[in-house]
Amino acid sequence: MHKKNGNTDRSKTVILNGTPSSPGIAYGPVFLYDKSEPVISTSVIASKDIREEQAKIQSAIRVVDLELRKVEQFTREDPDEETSAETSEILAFQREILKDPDLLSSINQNIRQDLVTADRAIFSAFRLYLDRLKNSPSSFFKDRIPDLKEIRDRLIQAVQQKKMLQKIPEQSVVVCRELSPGDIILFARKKVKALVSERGGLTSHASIIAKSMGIPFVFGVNKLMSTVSEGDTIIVDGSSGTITVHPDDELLEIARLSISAFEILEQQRQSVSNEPCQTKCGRKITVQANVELETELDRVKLYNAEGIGLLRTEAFFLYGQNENEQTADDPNREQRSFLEKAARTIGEQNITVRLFDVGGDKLPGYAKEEANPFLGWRGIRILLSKPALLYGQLELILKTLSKHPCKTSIMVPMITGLEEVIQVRTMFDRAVKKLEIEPLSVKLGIMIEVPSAALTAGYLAPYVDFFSIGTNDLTQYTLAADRTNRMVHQLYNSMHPAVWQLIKKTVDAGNEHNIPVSVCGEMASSPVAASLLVGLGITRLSMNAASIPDVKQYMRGYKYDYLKTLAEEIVKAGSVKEVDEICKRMNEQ
Amino acid sequence: MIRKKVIVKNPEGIHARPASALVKLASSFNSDFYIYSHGYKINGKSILGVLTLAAECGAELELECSGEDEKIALQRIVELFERNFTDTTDK
Repeated sequence: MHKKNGNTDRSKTVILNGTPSSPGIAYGPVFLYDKSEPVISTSVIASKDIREEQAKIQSAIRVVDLELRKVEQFTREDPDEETSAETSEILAFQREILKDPDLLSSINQNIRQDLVTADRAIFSAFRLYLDRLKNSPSSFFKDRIPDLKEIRDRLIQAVQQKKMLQKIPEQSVVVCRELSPGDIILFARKKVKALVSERGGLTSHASIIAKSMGIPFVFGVNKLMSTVSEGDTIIVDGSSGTITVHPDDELLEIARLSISAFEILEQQRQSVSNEPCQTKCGRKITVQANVELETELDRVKLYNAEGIGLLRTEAFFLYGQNENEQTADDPNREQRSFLEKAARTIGEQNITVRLFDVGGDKLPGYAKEEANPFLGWRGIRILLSKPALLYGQLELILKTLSKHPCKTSIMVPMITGLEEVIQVRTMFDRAVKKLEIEPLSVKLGIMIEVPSAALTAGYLAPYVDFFSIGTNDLTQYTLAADRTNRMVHQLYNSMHPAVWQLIKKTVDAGNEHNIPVSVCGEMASSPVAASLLVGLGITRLSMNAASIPDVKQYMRGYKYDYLKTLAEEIVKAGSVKEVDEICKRMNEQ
Repeated sequence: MIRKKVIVKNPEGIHARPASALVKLASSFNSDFYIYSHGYKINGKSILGVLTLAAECGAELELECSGEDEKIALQRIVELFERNFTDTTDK
């Protein structure tokens, strides 16, 4: 190795340390991401553009809400991370702000009266509230200022996103004072090399997302902002927490070696996902990915998912829109473009789109607080009472995907019984006929997530082409335990034998009527539970793409007959404790 | 239109969580809901409005409901203040 003096005069190597948060090593030029003052446009818009600017607000609110929801989800799915009550409270509070009717009307009014752009309208609307908090005598209220600013800046970013994204060079290392989970989703799209932040903040959530996106991340780096400048070369070691600014050639060479070592490990992991998913004795299982965000589509390919087993569409549900402020000319544009991108990702494989699965609180003008929202007006119950909405979505999905070579399936959430199934089937058949689609080329299936549907699965099967078991809701409805409620979440356990009896019942009904049964809940991404589900007769699993290698690797260690014996024991078990012992035996084998 | 005065009794005042609870409850009624405090009038269905009241323990607020379900709305909201914004257990 040659040593040169080229980069040493001004730039002495400096080593900083922080908290390692997402593993991996990377180096590249620094992109300074300055969040302290968002740059707001000063231009004036023409009155004919008012609606367009207002539409940007709607879409920004939806994007930010989706990101916050995603953060909640990632947090729940990460087994290492104790969700601190405080951060979930902040998330809930921030999502509540997005629903604030006064905020929305004040933003819209700013646009209409002052003819300012969407970003400035947001900035001004928040200023009033921030000023009031600043003048508050109590520190408790002053402490909420950062939460408010964060949500304001996220909205502004969402509006400016295109412009912002253009500014970030690919392959750079993002350096900033503070990083929100939403920022990471944004940067992942730009394929940045690594992330470093000076402070903490909502970082526990941020690191979960960085990990699942595979981006090295170090936070809590003292003096970071005063040490680095734009364009500096920097090495980030997300496993040790070391940051090397202005590395000399020798250090860079070491970094390169470490990167290739890390890549080999990662390739080994991914090569597992290149192989088919099967048991030790060769029983094949179809493994698909769950997708909600566009950024997740990259991972579908990366981990070789055999299609998308659950494509969520909730993000495109008309979000709390005032009926008199219907702004977008084509309200379906975003949903259509998302479906098209998903279809292009998977080629000829299967894509299963789930119809809107939301609670009544998302409907415009709907203001009834339900005492038990999870037992209330949601999922297919809403869709059936708004036939135009249901038919519109069916037609949109079928029409959009029929232009692509993918195999199309549509899945109905929250089915409780036969009447609902027949109604949806009738509408589905009507749409297929109207669009002149070959009836056998598209499938209609239902989610089995309510105990009544599992128990009557044999009666529902003749009307559908597949079942997909949503184990999260099935568990919460079977055990009457809300897992977000700290007082009862210990009761929420998908390994309860009652849940397994219902899954068995569903699998049996599927076999009898010769329709496939898949699982798309979190159980599918746990290697142990997924293997046991295969033992129970499940042939399709859909999970977070990043979980695919671990599930495949684990399943290869067991023969189907053995898994079958264990699964039968679980169904007959009398308690969670007994099930735990069966799983323990399995791991010791 | 009906009105009632209440006093904030929980030690931390109407911070983020109580504000969310209050807004959620108020939004479940059709009636308009306003809060008067120190000469301000704010929409009780707006979380930012409620939060920026910065109502601390001991603060006196005047609540106003108007609409078809104003009676039950005001009653429920007053109850929420009385139980210091804890969750309902109306089972």
